[in-house]
Amino acid sequence: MLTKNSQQNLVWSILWIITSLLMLVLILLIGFVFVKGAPEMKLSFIFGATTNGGLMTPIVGTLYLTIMTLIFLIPLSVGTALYLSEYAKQNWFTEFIRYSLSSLAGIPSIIFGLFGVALFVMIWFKKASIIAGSFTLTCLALPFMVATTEEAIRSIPKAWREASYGLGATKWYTIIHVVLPNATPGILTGVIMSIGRVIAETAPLLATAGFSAFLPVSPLDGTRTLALHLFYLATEAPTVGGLTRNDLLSQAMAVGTVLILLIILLNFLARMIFNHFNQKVRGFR
Amino acid sequence: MSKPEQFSEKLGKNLIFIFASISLLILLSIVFFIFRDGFLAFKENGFFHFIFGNDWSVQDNTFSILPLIVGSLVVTLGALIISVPIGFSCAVFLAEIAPEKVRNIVKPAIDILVGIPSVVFGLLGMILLVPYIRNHYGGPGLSILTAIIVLILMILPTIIAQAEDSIRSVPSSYKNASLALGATHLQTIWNVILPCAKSGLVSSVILSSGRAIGEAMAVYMVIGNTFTFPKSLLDPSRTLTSNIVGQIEEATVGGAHLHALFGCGLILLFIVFILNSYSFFIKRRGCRSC
Amino acid sequence: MFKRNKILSVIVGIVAILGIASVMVPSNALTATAKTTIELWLNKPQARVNGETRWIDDTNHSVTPISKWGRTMLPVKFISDNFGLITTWDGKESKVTVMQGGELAGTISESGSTSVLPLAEKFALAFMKKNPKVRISYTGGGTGAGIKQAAAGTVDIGAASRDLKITESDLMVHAIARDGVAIIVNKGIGISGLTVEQVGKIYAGQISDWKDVGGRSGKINVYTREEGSGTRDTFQTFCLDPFALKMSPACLAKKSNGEIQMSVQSDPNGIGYVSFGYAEGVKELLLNGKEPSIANVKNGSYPISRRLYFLTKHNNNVLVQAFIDFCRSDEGQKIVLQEGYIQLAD
Repeated sequence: MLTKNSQQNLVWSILWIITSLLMLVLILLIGFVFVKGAPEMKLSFIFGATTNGGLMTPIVGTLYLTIMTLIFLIPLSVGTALYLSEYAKQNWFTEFIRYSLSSLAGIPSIIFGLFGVALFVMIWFKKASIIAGSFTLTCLALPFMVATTEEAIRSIPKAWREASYGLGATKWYTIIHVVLPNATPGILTGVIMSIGRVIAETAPLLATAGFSAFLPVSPLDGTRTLALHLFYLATEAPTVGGLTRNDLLSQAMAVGTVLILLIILLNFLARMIFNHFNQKVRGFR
Repeated sequence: MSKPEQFSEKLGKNLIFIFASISLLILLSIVFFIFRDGFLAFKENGFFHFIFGNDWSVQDNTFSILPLIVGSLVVTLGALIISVPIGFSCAVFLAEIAPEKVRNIVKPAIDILVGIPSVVFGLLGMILLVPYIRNHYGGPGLSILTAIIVLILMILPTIIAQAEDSIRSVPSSYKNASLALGATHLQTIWNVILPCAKSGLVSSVILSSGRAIGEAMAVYMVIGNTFTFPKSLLDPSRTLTSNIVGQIEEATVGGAHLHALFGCGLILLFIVFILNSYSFFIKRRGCRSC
Repeated sequence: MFKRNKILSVIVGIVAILGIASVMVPSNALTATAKTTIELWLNKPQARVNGETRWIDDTNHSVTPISKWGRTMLPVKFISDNFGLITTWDGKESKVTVMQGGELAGTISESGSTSVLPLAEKFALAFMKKNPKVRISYTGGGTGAGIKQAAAGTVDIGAASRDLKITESDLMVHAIARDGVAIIVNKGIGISGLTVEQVGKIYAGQISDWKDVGGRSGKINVYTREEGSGTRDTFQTFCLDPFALKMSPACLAKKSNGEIQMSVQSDPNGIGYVSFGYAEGVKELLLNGKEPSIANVKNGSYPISRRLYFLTKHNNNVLVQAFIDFCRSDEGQKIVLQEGYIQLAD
């Protein structure tokens, strides 16, 4: 029987090996995406019109969709979080809402897609469109944003609020001038992480955001996101105009590269804000 | 309070209340739609037939999902069985053993990997894994095995990140006490730290199992999407989620087809709920004093 | 004689006809002085455009120039189409409008078949170039979705890659191209053709090894489309239904033509069916000895062919009709050829 120390050394070695191997595999995979996509990472591809095989429409579509989602998401989640933490009596009802929201967070994203089709596409807007897609994504991101915002709000010491009341400020004034400004870093981090999630989502948008190749103008237009376009290039795209399947796969990899770079950027931003303000943020990984 | 202050006070309060109510409405309507359309599927196809039957045909208007349930369960459990041990090992490594420099590189990398879109993993699976399995192991390459491997790659970062967080959040006093009593680092980890991190570890498993069973795009691209029961790991199959991905666009016209897809979703939620509750019980029985 | 939905023989409100010096000539043969030359004869259903003979209306062979009220009356649509103008018919007001391009304005929304998608996009691009004030948007969704949305009026045009069923017949059907469905296999498979029945049996699961159809030994990996696909329906109509066969649930389902092409290209044992335009990088099988070629679809000898349709409601508006007419015109049909589909006219 090995001594305690050699046991430990053995286990340590195994763990080193497992972790290194795992990291190696994952890095290699990401590297493969970059390498295979490299031939297509030309400016003419990225900024070309999509009807010519470029990425302009997915880029604009992703921006349009994300911004529209945030427009709905931020007020809703901040409002709900404020209600739960500032206004509502802490009773079974608020606990129930919190529990429901956290359960909602566990629902697979494709189900939000189904819901979005049934409500936004079939009943409200009658067609798959940017606005239907952004409503769907708002529902998807809502639980996480509410939780993050509430956490950020709660982390503001009660004393600060008391001080504000003590100086004669109203509740609303306190919220606007004391609570929200100090919760902003936490909320911002949550927003950035939600953006990351929204960009990476494909399933909920398949049937709710439409699929037009033309640049979107009105919110009732259909459009594509980068993730949807990746799926399209990898599967449906026709091999016309001299393109081979291999070319299309390289293009798909290039889109993947763009997406991965975006994720890295967003992560970096979130990390910077996190570190700068040193707030404790629960990741929803 | 002066008049304008009173006004803005009231306005603010009402605004907040409205937003909160909208959120609640959203919650309720999601539940409403899923249950209503899901139950319509049960009604149109017969509850037992829907769940335990084995034919799905849009033109014959008959839907049943047993192969899908089996596919989802096999793929999820297969991925979990491999990912959990490996994930926990890496988490322990990162939290306790790795030098600071290593940790500062690996942890951010893991965070990034968590956020990578599922289509990228699906694409990699399609291009690299499917031909490899087809050429070296036989079968069409699109199979349960391929799906399991892709899922493992996707949920490992999630498990590692969450587990590492919970291990780090165990109070260092416990660790110090154990070491002071003469235990080795390894013994401390195994007997003190891990049991105390139990609740966090269990939530990491729940979260990843939710992600594994709910993964739609990547699985769709590598699993073959047949309506048959897989008899071996190399057989293709179909999951509840990949079924929805495959058919949702044709079903936007509504009717029994859409209801059947909602039925898939409802069963999926049911499975997720069971998984969550099971882990909830494990948490309860864990270390109370931590 | 005057079909409700055909623009014929009523010369009312002619705004401008480019390149025609004179049309009203009381004689048997009429020509126009323009870069394009159109020759028509009284009471003859065929005319000559730049020397090429064609039907004035290829779905109705009795449309001819006629003599009435002491005048020779000509079919406006045929002439304007061939001069590159846009002629539209408003059923509500029984009004014919002839315009040069560039005057149309508005939006058109389309949705439907993914087989038609590449073609529809190119149509839209070309039309929008000619008419800069028009915006067209195309969403996918599949043939089924396109039909339903067109019927519900939520889109102006629904694109379908199969014939309508009886239950769906309340729509106006405009054929815009023809297409064939090719049976594709991996390039290394070693077989050059199969019978339609063999293909059906493979898809029904009754033939499972390549050696049973003349190839080397190997389990056949059968790729099909998800239900609701117009291409799948077409395949079923020609390869399964005639032999009372049903698609086996063990077929590997894919969502689009492109996926099937890619799967077959990389799978040495794969077989699949795709629209003609997607058969690249793979081997196309002879069916019943016939090559999957444009000529064979036109002469009807290739077994699996279909039309691609734009569907609208019956009271569609001027803009939509102009677009559809454009797609069916020479210019539009040129695009059809470029995209790998088959033109409507012979």
